[in-house]
Order: sequence, then C-alpha cells, then structure tokens
Amino acid sequence: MNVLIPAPLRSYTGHRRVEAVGSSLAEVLTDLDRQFPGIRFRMINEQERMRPHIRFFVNGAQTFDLSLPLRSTDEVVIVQALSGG
Amino acid sequence: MKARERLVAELRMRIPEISPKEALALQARGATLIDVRESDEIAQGTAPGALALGRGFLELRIEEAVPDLGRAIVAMCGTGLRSLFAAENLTRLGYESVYSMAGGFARWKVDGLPVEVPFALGGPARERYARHLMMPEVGEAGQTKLLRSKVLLVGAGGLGSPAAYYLTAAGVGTLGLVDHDVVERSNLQRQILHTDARVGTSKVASARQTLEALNPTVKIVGYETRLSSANIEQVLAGYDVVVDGSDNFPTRYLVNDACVKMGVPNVHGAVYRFEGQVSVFWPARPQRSGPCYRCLFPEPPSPEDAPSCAEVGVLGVLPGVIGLLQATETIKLLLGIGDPLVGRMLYYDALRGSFSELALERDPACRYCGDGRSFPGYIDYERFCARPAE
Repeated sequence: MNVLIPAPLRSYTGHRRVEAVGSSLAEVLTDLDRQFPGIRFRMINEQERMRPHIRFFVNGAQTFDLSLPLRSTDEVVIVQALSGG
Repeated sequence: MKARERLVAELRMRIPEISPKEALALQARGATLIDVRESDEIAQGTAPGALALGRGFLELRIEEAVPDLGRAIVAMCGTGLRSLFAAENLTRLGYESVYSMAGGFARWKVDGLPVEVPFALGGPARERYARHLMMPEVGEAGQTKLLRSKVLLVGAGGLGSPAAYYLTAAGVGTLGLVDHDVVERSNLQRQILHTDARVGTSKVASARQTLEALNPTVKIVGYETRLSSANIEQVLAGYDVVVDGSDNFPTRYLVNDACVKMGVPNVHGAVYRFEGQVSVFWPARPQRSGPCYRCLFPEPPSPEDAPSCAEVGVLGVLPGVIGLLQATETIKLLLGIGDPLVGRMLYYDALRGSFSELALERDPACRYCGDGRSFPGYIDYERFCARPAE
C-alpha cells in the first residue's frame, strides 16, 4: 500500500511516497523498518507507543490503533509536528 | 386620477400591506426584511437585521440573498410606496409570501421601533472593496464585519508576511503583529513584507511600513516582544482570531494554550522544505468544535528530531501558499462563511502538487481542552520543548 512519509523522516526513504506491505498498521511499520532501517523508532518508542509528535492517518482518518487492520488499497499518511514559519 | 396614483392603487389591491409592528413580529419569526431604499438613505438608519438591497439591484441579487422562494419577505422603503413596487417584482420572481410595509421607515420610527445606524462605507472604501461588495457572501455587511475585526498575527515572517498582506488588503480593521526579530537578508527569499533596504530594522516596523502603504485605513498594532506566559493574555486580549505563524515549538504551545484558555480560534500553519500544514484549532467553537494543537501533538519532537527551516531550508513560495490558506481561513471565520478547517488538516506537498485532507480527532482527555478540564496553567515552554526524545 502507499505510505506517505513526513519530510523530517525523508532522509530514511528518499521519497515521500513509498510502498509497504502488512495486514495491520504495526506490520506496515515493521515492513518500513525492514526497507528503511531505523525509521520505525523515530515513530514508535520503546514502550511500543506512537511518539506524541507523530500521527497516523488511514484513508484520511486519524488512528491511534497499531493493530488496525489494513488492506492493500489503503493509504497511510504519517504526519509529524512542524515548527517552521 | 394620475397614472402613478392609479398604479399604486392597483398594487395595493394585489400586495398585502402590514404595519411596522407586524413586520417586526414577522421578522422575529424568520421573515426577511428588505430595505429597498438608496444606500444614502439607509446610512441614516434602518431596521436592525434588515437586508440592504436597493431597488436598482433587487431583482438581480435577491435570489442569492434569499434562495428559498417560500420564505416570507417584507419590503420596506421610506414611506411605503417604493416597497409596493419592490414587492410586486418579488412576487413576479416567484416569491410566494411577500408583503409591503405600510408607512415605510418613517412610520417605523414614529412607532418607536428599534433603529440601527449601519456602518457606512465611504466612497474610497466602496471602491477599494468593490469586488467583495458584489459577492453576497461578503457584501456590505460582511465588509463591515471585516473592518470591525481584530486579528493577531504571531510572527511577521514567512507565514505572517503573506497572511498580513492579504488580510490588510481585505480590510481587516485591526492587525496585531508580534515579532521581536530584525529583518535579515536571508529572510527576503520568502518574507515579502520586508525589503532589502530594511535589513537590520525591526520586522514589526518594516511590516507596518509595507502594510500601511497598501491600505492606510487598517490599524497596525505592533508588539516588538517575545511572547511569554507573562504577557500573552495581555497581547491576545480583544482579538477575534489568532494566526500562528511562529517558527518554534515553545511559541506554538504557548499560543495554543492561551487560545484554548481565551476561547479564541487559532489558525495554524507550519512549513518544512516543500511541505506545509494548515488547520484551525478551536475547541470553544460554539457548534462542531474541534481539537486543540495539544490534542493532535501532545508533545513536540525533541530538538534533534525537528530541525528548523534555518537548518534544513524551505522553498520560498511555500509559506506563501500556507500563509494565504491561513488568511483565507481567518476571513471565513470572521465572516462566518463556509466550512472552516476545524477538526481537519490540509497537508500540502509542493513537489507532488497535492493536498491531503486529514480528519483530526479531539482528545477528550486533553489536559488543556478535554471534557470537564479547567485550565491547568501555563508552563515553562522552553523546557517543555527542549526535552530529549523518550
């Protein structure tokens, strides 16, 4: 499925839009980390919780549930807090 | 009998006439009261809530102003004659329930009914805002609202420049500008309020010079200070909308907390390289309220996870796009039109040339705007934002 990476994490992927597989949000993040080592820890902390400056949206709707089931046609948008003005 | 008298007599046979008191009662039950007099007459006083629609444009604009043909309409004029002609034409257009107010505004005043002296736009203002005035969503009433509005812009930089420029052009009556920085040459790639000749001068003074040249009727209030817990409520007091164009997380959390406490909408914009975010955080919105900034991002990234534009760069036009979306949202909020970005974020990717619309969730347990929560107080924002990542 398509995953849109926020600009501050682009150094890992090189692209905003990347492909990842998985039947849940957690699996998609694991697949991202397999492709781009280290990126998952920038989003999920040691307690397996979403970092508070990173938010996840599936087909435009916000989710806090890493076990959320996903289909290959879903689009995941990852947003990070930005300060620039 | 003269032809005019004969025509008026015929109209009186067809058009129901009601007294000013009956018109007021009908208006209270949802009828639209239309003042069909000339604008110079209306400027002397009119019925509160009356729609000013002179006979010259009545037939052309009525459908935009009153799309529901079943809605009751009361036409009023000076003495009750012109309103008969107006009512006749409204009936011909298909309005099903049209009345003429007998005795007109003269009798309205004699009957001691409430009178409102509308804010009159002078000739230069009419010319300046002509493109607003011809749109029913703005019109004279909306332009008057803008002229009476007060907007505070936090930051006169990349986002604040385009936002302030267009809000000034639009005729927002009072613009507050908060910025403690001076203009640097590296700002000029995007901060369009400033000029090369003003490098080294205060951004607030530079912005004032540009904005007053564009629209000298707008009142610019400068705050050459860094916002802090100690001064923010004093600065925000009296403003209708806050536009957050700051460039650091401590200020963004401080602005959020003050806006939550004071119930003011916070029009948020942020940029990074080729991407930007826009939303309106307004938990106190009377209908369909939304989250605050802390509901979305309870904590900022650690400094190493969030380099600033000074460290990673930003496409010069990007804050132009985002700042103008903030200005657009501000005008919508001030006019009470459209669907503001409350509970939604627009995420703009300039390289892809695309917007993503994201639905934001309000956090019922949010420490600042959560259900049943009282304001927990301001914090040490520099310390809060300097913490290392968990």
